[in-house]
Amino acid sequence: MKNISLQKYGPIISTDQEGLSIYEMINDELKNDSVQLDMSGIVSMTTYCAKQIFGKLYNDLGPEQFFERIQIKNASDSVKLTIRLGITMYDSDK
Amino acid sequence: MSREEYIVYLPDRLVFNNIAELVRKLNFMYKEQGKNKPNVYLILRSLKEIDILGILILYKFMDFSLRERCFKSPNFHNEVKSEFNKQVKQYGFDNLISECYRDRMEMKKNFDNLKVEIKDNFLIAPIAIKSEEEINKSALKQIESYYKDENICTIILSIFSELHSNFNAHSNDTSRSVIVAYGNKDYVEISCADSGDGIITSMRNLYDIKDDCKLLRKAMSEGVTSKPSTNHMGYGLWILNEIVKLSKGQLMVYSQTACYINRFGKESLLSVPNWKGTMVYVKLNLKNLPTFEDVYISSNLKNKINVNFV
Repeated sequence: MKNISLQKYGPIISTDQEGLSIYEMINDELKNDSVQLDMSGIVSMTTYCAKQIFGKLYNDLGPEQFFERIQIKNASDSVKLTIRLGITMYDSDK
Repeated sequence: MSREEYIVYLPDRLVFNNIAELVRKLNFMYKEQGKNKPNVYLILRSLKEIDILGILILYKFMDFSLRERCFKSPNFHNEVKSEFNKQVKQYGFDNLISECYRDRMEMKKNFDNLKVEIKDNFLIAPIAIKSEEEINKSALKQIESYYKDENICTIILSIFSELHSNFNAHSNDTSRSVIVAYGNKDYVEISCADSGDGIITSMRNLYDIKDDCKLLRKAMSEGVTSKPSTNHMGYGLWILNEIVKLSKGQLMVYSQTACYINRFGKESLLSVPNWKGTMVYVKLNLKNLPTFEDVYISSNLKNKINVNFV
């Protein structure tokens, strides 16, 4: 399992460019391996970026593969809520 | 020869729950774009109450009317100088407002150079919303050093980033969105305003609802976005409103001719004088602040999504 730290994007993941860059980095790693995302240093993430990253990954992989191949550690309650919102909205837009 | 004069008496309460009255006094500027009218007098005779939003809207009026050349050398007669100036300084608007009527170039320079600045108590002096780097790098350190409480910092930053994301999505070269925050150990106020396309205009393109208040109410609902083909989700305003409800705080979202108010959990919608753009005012009671877990519990998301958090 590949460990990916998002610390360099902290403390707030909020821009379109950051969201796209993170999505592409995770997606590249998923071609070879499962990933563990370390959210240390991320205080907040906008709902916009959560949809752009996690909503799209959830859609790409499907619910089971998303759960099995992506682990998220050190996420604050705020970031956890935002990730869930991002996935829900991407799913309901389809 | 007659001399046409515009004399505007400002209300003595420049506060969020009287903001419609202030807008009613000021929105004549929209009819005067490019006219460069002389003999315009803005008069403040007494001041009972002023808050961060009142000053912000006064500044936005000055900014808009000068940029759009509505008036020629407008006069601001302030009969309560010491109290007004004290408040303007407290909220960090002193340079911006004092330069407004002196020099257009100076005003532009001031706006472009707005920086995060912390003074007594907690203050994020007015900054242009485009300055995201400023918010991230400077504001976080200042918020953390003042509050020293992880939940308070997270909530304030989340509100900042959601407001930034929302206002930025509607902005254009002339929106000139500004955000400002003030607080102490008991409460924090955050306010922002722009002159861009309002929420009502965006919502009207999507929903067959004639009533502006109903459109704004819909925009406040969970999962409703005015930008459906993007990654915007319609949860930004909803999260903000949930935090306000749970903290028994106050929220106002004013867009064009509709205004949503949540005061201590009691919601109301009002038809109001037109403001071309959007303004948001939030006041949170820090003694009663919810966590994001509380917000999650109050949402309709429970058990829907299985995420492997370890």
